[in-house]
Amino acid sequence: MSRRHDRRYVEIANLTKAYPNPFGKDIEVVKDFNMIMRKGEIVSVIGHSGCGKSTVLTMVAGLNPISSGSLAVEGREVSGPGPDRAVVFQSPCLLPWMSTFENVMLGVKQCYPHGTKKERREICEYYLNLVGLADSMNRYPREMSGGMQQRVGIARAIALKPQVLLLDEPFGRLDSLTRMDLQDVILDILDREKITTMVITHDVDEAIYMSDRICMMTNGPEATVGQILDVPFKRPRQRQDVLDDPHYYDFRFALIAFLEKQEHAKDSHVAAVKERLNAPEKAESEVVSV
Amino acid sequence: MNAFTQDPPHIMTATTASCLIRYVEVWTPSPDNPGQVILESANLINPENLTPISPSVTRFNDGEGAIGSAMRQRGTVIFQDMPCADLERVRNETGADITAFMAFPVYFEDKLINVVAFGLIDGHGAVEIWTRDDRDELSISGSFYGGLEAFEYISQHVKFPKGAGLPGVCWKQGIPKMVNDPNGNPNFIRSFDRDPAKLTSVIGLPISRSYGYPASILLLMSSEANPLAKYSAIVKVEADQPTEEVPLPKMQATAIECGSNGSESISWQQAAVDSVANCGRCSIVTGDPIGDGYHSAIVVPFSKKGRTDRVMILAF
Ligand SMILES: Nc1ncnc2c1ncn2[C@@H]1O[C@H](COP(=O)(O)OP(=O)(O)OP(=O)(O)O)[C@@H](O)[C@H]1O
Ligand SMILES: [Mg+2]
Repeated sequence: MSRRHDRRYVEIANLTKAYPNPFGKDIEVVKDFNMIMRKGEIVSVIGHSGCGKSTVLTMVAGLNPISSGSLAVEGREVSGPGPDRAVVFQSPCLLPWMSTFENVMLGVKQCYPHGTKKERREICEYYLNLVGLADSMNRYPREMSGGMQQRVGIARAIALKPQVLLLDEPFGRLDSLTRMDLQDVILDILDREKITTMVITHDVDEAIYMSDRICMMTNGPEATVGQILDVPFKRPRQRQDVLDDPHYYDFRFALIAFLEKQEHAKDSHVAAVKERLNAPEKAESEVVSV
Repeated sequence: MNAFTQDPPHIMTATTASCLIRYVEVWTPSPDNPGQVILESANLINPENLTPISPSVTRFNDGEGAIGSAMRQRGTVIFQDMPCADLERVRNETGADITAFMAFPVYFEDKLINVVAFGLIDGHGAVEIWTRDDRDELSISGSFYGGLEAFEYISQHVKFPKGAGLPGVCWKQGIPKMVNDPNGNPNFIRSFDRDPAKLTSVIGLPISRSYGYPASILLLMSSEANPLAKYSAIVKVEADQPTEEVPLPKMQATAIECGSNGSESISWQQAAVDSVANCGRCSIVTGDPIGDGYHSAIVVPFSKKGRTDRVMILAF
């Protein structure tokens, strides 16, 4: 991996998002977020509810304008949504009047405007097959479980051949067996297609099993990267091998300890930010939120 | 209130435990050869006093030995298990049980003013060197750990972007920082409470500069069993305008930003700061000016924007 852009495929520098505050200065929910993702890397983002994970992800997707900082994919500044980035949210938002196949075809048509009908059909079938829905192509969303719907959502995203896949709690609504199943489906696809992936999760085990790196976010407001953990387990992974690794629990412990500490510090963090905002002349010498 | 300067919930008192730092050397650039440093002072640190040592080597060229390497790399070097002539030398000359030897350069802006070396005992505690990697994150490039096995394992996988964790804050702000009670302090992000060593305070030091930013961050960690020193602190100072001839002019200690006794001031903090201004670089203070049950102190200045703005005090 020698190309500069491959080593810095997604480059997030000092990314900040401020929302207007009816009572005073804008509130910076995310501040000075820094991260560089290599091509093909899978990075999980964990952090307490409301800290700003989705805010970061939707900014990378180009769905949410940034307030300051910079954001580039393969050296190109992100200025809006694009076909190089696909997003999967917690609920797949399928069009209820279209079949599974048609839902996937909708994106494929836009993405391969010059492909023949047969080529497009093959692409849809290929990805629906990958997510295990070969037999359900003609079903409608209402005829499928949440897990099956999410499979459609994943197939739809990946069929667009994105360079970057952005997953916001993709398995959040699923029971743990379906969840594990879909983790393997995604990992299998990612190992084949080497798509650079950011996945938000609340599940530390999922983070360890799925990712090459885990980005731990601090509390908001002014949420930022607290630390990044490199997960050294080789890919492709076997779930049992990962669980059997004597260091598995070192990683698990590090993540839980981080979340506990953030939880513990919540109130004092909010108070410290408030106090700093009220005394701007002190800002320079003050500590950035860590 | 700055979270870094908050008093710990319990005030720690000067301890009688044996200190992690057992030996200290201070080197200064040779006046007639800028590519060389010469020995200014070498001392074995005992509980009751400081014993001056006369090392066999009193001069190092840039790149030579541990001292010359710190100078060449503009960063900290640390030797533990691998053969290191300086570690051997110090062990032989002091007869003390020194298990690791480390050296770091001290700059005033871009000008080297000292190389400081420590000999460490085989105790509980840690020293980490955090260096910027090709992702612009800090990762550990050298270390010493005692009683911190789980912490050591996970730390080699931890990365801090600019502004994250204690090393990332030292990098971003370009100033030394200290936190007490790291387990309870949200600004010290890693957890170590599965290990036998109970860390009590951590000092982060920005070492040298390139493009306005520190090239590396040195983390010094005290444990309950083996604090770095009997007392340690980062003191905020206000310095007069420096000149070419007097880079470290008179300075006023304004506050103990963080000390191992919290932000409580010590009777000799101004004397410590004066000692740096008087010699224009790091100093080792012994005898009279030091009180409160300490026999000596190492005082290291750190500059920002052309003035000394903080000093680290390690007292024994
Ligand atoms: N349009 C908006 N206007 C004002 N504040 C907003 C807006 N959108 C989000 N926020 C605030 O930004 C913060 C971060 O929200 P975000 O959805 O990114 O958190 P999250 O980490 O994804 O949470 P969860 O884990 O619950 O999904 C929250 O405090 C939220 O209230
Ligand atoms: Mg969210």
